[in-house]
Amino acid sequence: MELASAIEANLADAIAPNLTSADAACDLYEAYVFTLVLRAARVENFVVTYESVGQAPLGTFIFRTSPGHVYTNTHAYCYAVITSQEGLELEVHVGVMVRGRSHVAHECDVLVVERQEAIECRSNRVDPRHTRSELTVECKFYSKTLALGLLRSFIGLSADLNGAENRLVTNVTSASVARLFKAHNRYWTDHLSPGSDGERRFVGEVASVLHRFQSQ
Amino acid sequence: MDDTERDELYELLVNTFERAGLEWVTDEVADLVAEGFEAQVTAAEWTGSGRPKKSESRTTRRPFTSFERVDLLLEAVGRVVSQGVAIEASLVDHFRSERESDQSETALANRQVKEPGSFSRRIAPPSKLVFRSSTSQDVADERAVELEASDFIDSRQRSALVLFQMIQQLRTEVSP
Repeated sequence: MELASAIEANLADAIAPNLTSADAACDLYEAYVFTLVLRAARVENFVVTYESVGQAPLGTFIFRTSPGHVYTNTHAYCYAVITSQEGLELEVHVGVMVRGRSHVAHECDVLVVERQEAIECRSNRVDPRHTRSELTVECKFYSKTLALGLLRSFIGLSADLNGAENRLVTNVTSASVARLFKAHNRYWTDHLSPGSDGERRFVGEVASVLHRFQSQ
Repeated sequence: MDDTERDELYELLVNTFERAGLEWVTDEVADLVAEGFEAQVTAAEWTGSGRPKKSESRTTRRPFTSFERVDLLLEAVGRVVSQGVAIEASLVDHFRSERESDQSETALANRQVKEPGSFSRRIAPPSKLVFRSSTSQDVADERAVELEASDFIDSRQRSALVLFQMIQQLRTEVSP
């Protein structure tokens, strides 16, 4: 019980304010995965720049905490532009909607979309098409094992967004989820956290997606 | 430590973690505990309805033991604390490196992007990350990560490491 008291005394200093709700922890995780996509872009020699929808306060990068649209300018939300050596441009967004095969819009935690498509969508105030998206990433940060229901919804989502490569990334793993993914031939990176094997695998896999984009 | 003491410790830890803002973690653990432990059993061990073949194994669930409940909770909190602080540090490293490697971006910052009807602007690699709802103009509930406050992040990393070690020690102490 003494150790339990010592743990209580140390909790406040060790827990980031961004970890005090499941949503906040997921927001932080999405931002981290966004930076991994940019790291993969650097691996493929893309140039990374940043933009905001409107004027962001100097030195501030604003992420969405709820699903939005690439054209939403409630706040000066920010995104990255990645440019290949050949001048091909993509944008990387967090928490935006994408139109699927069914014309229904779905939320993508991290989206890599053709720059021209994103420009037209901002201009026309519509959501990007999945056929003009290269990669969507669903990010899940959990304290414990994954629920199967989550995976079933991801499988449904990826069927509707089949124009892009759809990936699920999680900080934890689950044997039953692994079986389900294998059966459905879907992309999943488990154990994705800083310094992990999952991190190295994910960066390599995203770099492959970007490499294929350049080779098209 | 006997099972009654482990059950008391579990309740104490749940209250402690909830006071620290980790109710979402204790809720996830409680959901898992309510589901029970999933185990593969042989035909001989099977106690459910139906008759599995002799060579067949079956999946079943049983309640978690007192030790397993405490261990699940400590493992979950240990994971969230250690990965959370590592993610913050990773974000700090990423954007610090971007700022250092690309000073030219700062000069281009705040330029209007050339696109039809555009309100987009080029920005420099940031020194602060802000999380804001897209459904509200209100910024009162925004959360931020100060990327230049690396001393603060370092201090939190040290605290998280100490806490993680304590959690691991407690997991050892409660084991049967």
